[in-house]
Amino acid sequence: MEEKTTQEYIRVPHRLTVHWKEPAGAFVNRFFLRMRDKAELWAIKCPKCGAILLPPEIVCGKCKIRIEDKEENWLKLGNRGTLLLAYHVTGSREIDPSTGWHPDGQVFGPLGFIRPDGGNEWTLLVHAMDAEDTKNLHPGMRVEAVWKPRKERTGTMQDIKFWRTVEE
Amino acid sequence: MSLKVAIVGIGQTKYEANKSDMWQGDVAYDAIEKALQQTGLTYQDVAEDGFGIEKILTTGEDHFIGRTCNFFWIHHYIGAFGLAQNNVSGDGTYAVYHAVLEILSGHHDIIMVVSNTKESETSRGGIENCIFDHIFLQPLGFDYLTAASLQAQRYMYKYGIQPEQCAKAAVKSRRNAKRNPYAQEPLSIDIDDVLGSRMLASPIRVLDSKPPVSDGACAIILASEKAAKKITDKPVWVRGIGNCYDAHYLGDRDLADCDSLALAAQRAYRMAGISDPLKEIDVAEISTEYSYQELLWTEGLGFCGRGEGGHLIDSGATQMKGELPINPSGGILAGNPFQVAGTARVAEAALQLRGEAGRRQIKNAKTALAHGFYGPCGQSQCVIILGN
Repeated sequence: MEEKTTQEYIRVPHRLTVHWKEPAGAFVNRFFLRMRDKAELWAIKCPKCGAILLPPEIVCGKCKIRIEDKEENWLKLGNRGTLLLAYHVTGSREIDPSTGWHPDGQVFGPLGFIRPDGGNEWTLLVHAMDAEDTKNLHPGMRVEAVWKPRKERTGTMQDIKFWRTVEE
Repeated sequence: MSLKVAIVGIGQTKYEANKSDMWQGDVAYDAIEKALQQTGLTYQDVAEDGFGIEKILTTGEDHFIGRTCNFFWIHHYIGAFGLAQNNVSGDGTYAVYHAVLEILSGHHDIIMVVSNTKESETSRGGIENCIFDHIFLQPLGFDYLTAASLQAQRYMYKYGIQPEQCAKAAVKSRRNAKRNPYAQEPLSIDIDDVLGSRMLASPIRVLDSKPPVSDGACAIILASEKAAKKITDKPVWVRGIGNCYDAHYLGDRDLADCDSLALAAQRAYRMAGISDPLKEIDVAEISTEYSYQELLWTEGLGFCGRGEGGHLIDSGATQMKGELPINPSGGILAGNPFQVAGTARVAEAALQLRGEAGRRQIKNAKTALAHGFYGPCGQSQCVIILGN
């Protein structure tokens, strides 16, 4: 009797390891320095349409004009804001941001879409929420930023540890 | 359009979770060979009379292969050795878009679009994460699924869309796929199966999502009017085409409304002379990676008003025997790889107009729509109207 065999397929492993150091750009540089040094969130306002852009960008996407780096175009936002919505990923298909790979079983916290006080319809920040899941996170809830201590802040979005809900 | 461009040849592989016995070039050539055999064409440089494919347009994402200039290594497989070649780093519909423009410009008469992706060779989620900006979104671990869950929540919240309505799209796709021999995931499922499947990223469940991994290729040959008439007696004409980009940063747009799709569709409809798409289009192949997207995209495509995508699917109009069947092939929910997905939509729409769609054929289809998108939450959109 002929013996049944399983076809074997060779797979050639390879990987690409390259590192980048990307300048944050003029506006985001200022934005991150103020986060790092003062624990403050600043946005840029389009002088034509009034859109308050977070992240701050040198070109308004709607008006297609350059926004000048003038003090009157910068706007300090509140440390509190309103949650527009939150979502939570469960299971193993999510990404470990430090590696780009998704570890089996690791569970990240929920993320929220937040409009900091002082912003308008163009001002929305996506960031981590201090909650186990989205059960108690609802559109319209008030939230506040919880910052890392100064010595741990390096000038990234992760200088804010997370946003937590607050009673007002 | 005063000048005309036609689709004259189509080749697809079967879409599968893991073509472990095939190298990327093997997969691409499977689709190419079918398109060549269907048309009887070869490449211009080896054709005795010089009548043949003049240019190859590929769609490839370097990260999937782990090296830059992804199609350079398989250029002999795709026939580009000695011919013109360009790569479009985007959905396959964009490669078709560029092929149409190059033929309309008079620069080329015959172009082959080749899309080939093997998701099984690496982590699709990791590559999707690389699509997001480095500073604000990538560090949060976003991939298409998590961004889509954000969009689904916003859309369902704003317009009161119910999970059952989204699940109908998932059921329809998997059931339609049973008639498509190329489909990866034909399933006899119902709404309860979808709603009972494991949650991936709320509100998206396993069966609301495309399969996690897909391998396959699709090739399409396009030709000028003069060349098309020499090649086939069943040309499928490109009647209209439009694309549009929206903001990348997810906070810079209302994810409940797909404005860029509405604009892309308007541009394509204007070119094709379509004023009432629901009535004038006979069949649509639209790119739906998650079930809610079918409802949302039907709004952007103007098949119904904003917030009415749920009512449209409830009405049965998008079923196989409805007024405007959507995704008779099963679409991406039944399995198509990244970037190949849009090329496959064009291929399936063209097969319908050639009357060669087999058991998934829509009777008397004269006008078809193919739709593709690229980028998180449908950042950029492309709409193509075909007619025969």
